[in-house]
Amino acid sequence: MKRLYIVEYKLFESTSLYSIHFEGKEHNETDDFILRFQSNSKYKENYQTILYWIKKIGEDGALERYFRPEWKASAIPVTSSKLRLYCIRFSDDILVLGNGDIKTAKKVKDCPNCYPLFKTMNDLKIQIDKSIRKKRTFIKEKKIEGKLDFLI
Amino acid sequence: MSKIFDKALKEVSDDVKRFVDNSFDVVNQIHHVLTEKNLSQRDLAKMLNKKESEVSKWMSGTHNFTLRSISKIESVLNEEIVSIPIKSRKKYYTVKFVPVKTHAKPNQTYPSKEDYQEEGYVKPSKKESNLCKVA
Repeated sequence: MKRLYIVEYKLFESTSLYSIHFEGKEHNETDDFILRFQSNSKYKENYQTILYWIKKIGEDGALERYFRPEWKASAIPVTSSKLRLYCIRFSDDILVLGNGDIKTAKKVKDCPNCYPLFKTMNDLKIQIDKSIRKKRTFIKEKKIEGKLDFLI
Repeated sequence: MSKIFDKALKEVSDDVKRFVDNSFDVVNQIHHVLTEKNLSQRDLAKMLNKKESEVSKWMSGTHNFTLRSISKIESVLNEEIVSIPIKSRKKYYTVKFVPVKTHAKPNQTYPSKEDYQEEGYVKPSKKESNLCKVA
């Protein structure tokens, strides 16, 4: 099991973006996604689409219709591409971004790239929901407060 | 706050920005028409003979709509989804000036600026209404 922290990523007018940071790693997971794909010429357009999409969500709000449900978590899809970024949508105002990769199989469970990322975000959602029920983690307007570290 | 994200965002090309902006605009317009007509995405899927999951994908804000699919949506909803500047200019430039005549009595009071709220006009108070009657 690894410990991770929910960290503030970017505050926009409509939406607070968070990311997850594994203990001992240099970068949070979303920055790690950026650093791995910023020089990938094959997926450059799709990677840039995801980045700008995040900005639009930040400005317009994380409305449910913009997300593709992936069990308890969500994914940001570029519909013409295999690139995915996993995330957890809590409300129109709060979005936790995770990491992303190229989906190589039709079903996520068959994809060695995406399945661990998908699992991390889904396990985290379960843990956060539990922590909210136990009144250790709180969703207050545009903020996540209280217990922000979890073992995944 | 992520400096890596800020830096990466600055490098996004203009055509990608326009693509996402346009895609969001189309999606928001479709959503607006559906809401106005009291229809759901499921209803739209049925009208288009598509699966609901496919229509959901379109609404993500990253879908590359074809003119064919936009036209089909416009057709089943009987509403314009996309406006072309040259067409809009022709349509709206024909109403450049509208003459307006107003008739006012000498002592008529008008609502103050505070009476105008974002949601619309607030009725004048009784005192103001009486003043109008007196005049």
